[in-house]
Amino acid sequence: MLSKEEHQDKVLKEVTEQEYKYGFQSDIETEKFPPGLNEEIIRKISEIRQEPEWVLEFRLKAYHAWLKMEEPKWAHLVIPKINFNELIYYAKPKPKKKLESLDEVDPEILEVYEKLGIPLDEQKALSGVAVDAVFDSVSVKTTFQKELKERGIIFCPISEAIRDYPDLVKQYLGSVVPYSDNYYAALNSAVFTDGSFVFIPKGVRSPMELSSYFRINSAGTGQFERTLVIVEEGGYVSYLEGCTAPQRDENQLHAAVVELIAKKDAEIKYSTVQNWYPGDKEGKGGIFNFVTKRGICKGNHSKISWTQVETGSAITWKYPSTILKGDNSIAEFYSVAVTNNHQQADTGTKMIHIGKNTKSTIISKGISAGKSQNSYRGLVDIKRGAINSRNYSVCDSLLMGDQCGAHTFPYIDVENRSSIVEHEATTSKISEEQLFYLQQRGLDEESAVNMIVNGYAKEVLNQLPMEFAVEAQKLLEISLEGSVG
Amino acid sequence: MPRTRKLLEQHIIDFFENTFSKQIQEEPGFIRKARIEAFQKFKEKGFPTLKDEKWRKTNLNRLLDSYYHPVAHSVIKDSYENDICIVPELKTKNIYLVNGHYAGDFQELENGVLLGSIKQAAGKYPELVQKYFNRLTEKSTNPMDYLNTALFTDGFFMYVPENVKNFNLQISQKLDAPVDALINTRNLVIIEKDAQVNIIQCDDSNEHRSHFATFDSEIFVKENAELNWYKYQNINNLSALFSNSFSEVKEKARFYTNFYQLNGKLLRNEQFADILGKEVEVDHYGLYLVDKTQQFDNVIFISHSSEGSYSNQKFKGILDDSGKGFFNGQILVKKDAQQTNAYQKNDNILLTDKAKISSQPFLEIYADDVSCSHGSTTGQLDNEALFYIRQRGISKRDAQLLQLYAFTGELIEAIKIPELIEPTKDLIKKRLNGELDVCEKCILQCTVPN
Repeated sequence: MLSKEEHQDKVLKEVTEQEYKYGFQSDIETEKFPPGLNEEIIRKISEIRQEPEWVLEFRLKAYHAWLKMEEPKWAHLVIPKINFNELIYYAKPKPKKKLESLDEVDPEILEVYEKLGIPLDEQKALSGVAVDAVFDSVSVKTTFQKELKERGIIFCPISEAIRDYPDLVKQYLGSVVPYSDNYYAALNSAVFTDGSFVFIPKGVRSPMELSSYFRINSAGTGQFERTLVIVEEGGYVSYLEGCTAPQRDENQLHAAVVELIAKKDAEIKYSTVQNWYPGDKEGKGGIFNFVTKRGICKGNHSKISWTQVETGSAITWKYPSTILKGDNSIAEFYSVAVTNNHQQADTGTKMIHIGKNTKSTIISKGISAGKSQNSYRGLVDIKRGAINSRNYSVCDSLLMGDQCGAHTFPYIDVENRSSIVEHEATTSKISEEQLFYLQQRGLDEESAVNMIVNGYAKEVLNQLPMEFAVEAQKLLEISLEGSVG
Repeated sequence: MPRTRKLLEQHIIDFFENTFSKQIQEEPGFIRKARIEAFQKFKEKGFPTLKDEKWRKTNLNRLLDSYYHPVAHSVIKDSYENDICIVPELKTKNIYLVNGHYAGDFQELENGVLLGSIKQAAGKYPELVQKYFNRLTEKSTNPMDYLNTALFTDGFFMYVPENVKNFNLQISQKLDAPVDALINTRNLVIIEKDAQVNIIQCDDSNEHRSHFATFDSEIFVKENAELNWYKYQNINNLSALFSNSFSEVKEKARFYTNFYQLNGKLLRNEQFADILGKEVEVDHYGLYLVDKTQQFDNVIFISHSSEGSYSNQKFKGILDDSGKGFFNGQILVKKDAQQTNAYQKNDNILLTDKAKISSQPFLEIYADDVSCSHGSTTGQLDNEALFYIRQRGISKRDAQLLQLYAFTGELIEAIKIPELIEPTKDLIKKRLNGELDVCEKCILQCTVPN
């Protein structure tokens, strides 16, 4: 019989040594640019993708803005110096020829997606999710395009959108996240390679969930995808995003930009399960996930809802935000962020209330274990004109182990007398009493911890679409079971 | 007239280099050294700007409309005994700090308490002062502390030996310069083991001059000692006062503050407390009543460096007209500070659409067996409650006042000196009613019936 402590150590060991199960690397031929960033590389990216002149101009403007900017240092993160000239800014699976149907996709890529459990194959697509798969920098395959097209929904790689719907893209690209917004957004604007584009026409509710899966496969590359979602008046879309990467000793950079635009009465639900490779248990390797996500509730009565489950990445720097411009618009942010080993996360949201009677809700649950640092950082900004607005925020942190840190940095600015803002946060470890109670009922310590953590995160997990909720729950278990101390 | 920040900075730098550095030749070496180091830092950094994280909501440019004369020597009266501060039925020792000077003699009291000017203390008890002086402020990165250390003219020193109980001190700080002035006051408070001290402080000013004042205090509360500090700030609406305190609190000690910000152009209180033992209790409470174009800031940092301690921050504000408030509270629980209980609460009422509040309740936690929480609310008066009160025949204005007054109750209830409760209530009522002006004498004088 092991003593309690030995048992805990054993469990903790099992958990921390758990392999990153998506850490395989596929042997697919890729075409890569030489490392480095300069105007020439940017011109080359633009050229290879046959982009119109205005896109190149956008990229170059962003590049010149980026050159003048400094990396943000305000986050509670220790970021090793990144040499942006050693990164490869473009890598794509070598094209055999233009893809017409799924049969023509490189079988090895298909195998990769199979391993990831992505329903890329339309034959087996019982789950009814339309997928846009981005492999390294290039969108490989988008499913269900035909069905969507019948309803006027556009769901395609952004490279295609630039080619086929230039006016739409031109109107909205950079309208929510300007190219000079911040260091990483500027970098993305300069070198973005692919990503997804979604357009929902007036009055259309997307009949299925749209999903993109991102995977960084090649070594030494950065991934810079760009997602643009536009929902016209009265439309609705639920969009899912998942990410994985192979196990590597070096750090890789992922700097994406996501822009959401919700017109009058429109609703966008954006869910992310982020499971980039977090590095090994010594903190070696892993993805730097420096992402700018922002939505705007442009029209009255519009709604944007962000849900994120963050379990991966060595360093996460991410603040999915909403600008509530339309009157009576609603924004929500639900987040579970789990850090273990040497992971660092500084994540949260910004709710900028401009319109009247706007409402926002923030539910953030942080869980830190191992030697990790987990911070919530959020802004609630109620402008003078946003009368009768309402914000409710809860930011809870759970600590597992005495080597980790959990931090909360809320910023609350209120500029009118008719709005109500409430913020509360707690930090604690799993309550001994709850554990005792569950164990009394015959659960072993592990299951008890699992049950408590799941219950703790439930409020957020409930917001995820079914398939993602299951995956997220599994991820939580992998990351945490038994790490009670 | 220095209309820009650069000019004001240059003006201060020139004053230090050309004038002040000659006046401090006679000072003990450790003080001079601290001054020169701090001055160098100030010269390098200058005043805080909107780019500094903790100053993003506080624009110092609004202080640039005056020409501040650095006060080196100041004409002060022989005695301020006539400006008595009366807290009825409370026996206190009274001291006066006027324009950065200590008015009065150095006192060695029967119970062993040393009380007087910090400059005189440095001459009389150099070892004692040297042991503590600048130990905590030295680590500060706030330019206001550089300024204070470099340029303080004087301040008070208090040493309370072991076991002295119920020692009550009343401090009147008067900003009463004949011209617009830069005033820097520096204080040192040492409370030895098992001692118990109450401090009641009033910050007061004349009506017509702009003052740019810093007031830095280093506070050492030893094992099982207790310090309760009440402060009432009521200066004119042309003046700015930056009061920063740094404290070190040892095992089983209690450090309690309850500050009332009532009037002033810009009042900013920064309190840094370091908890260095078990079973320590640190409470920082504050009320800010802001109107016109006033701005009141509170920046609180409580560091739990040791296990098994308790801290609580409670700050409440009412903001009227174009008043601005800024609250930044931080709880830091270090790795070994297990079994920490730390709480933080900031509540605000905005009365107009021009008033602004920025609230930043931060938690930074590196230990797992802790219970920490924070909360922040911003809202307005409860309409239903107003309606209920008005139904009882009370006018709208009175109903509002009643509710606002009730909102402040939590802080008044936390006052531990019974004699202070009524005068404080009275002050708040007057302030809410718009009747409280700058007193010619001390604030609490206002409470004496005619």
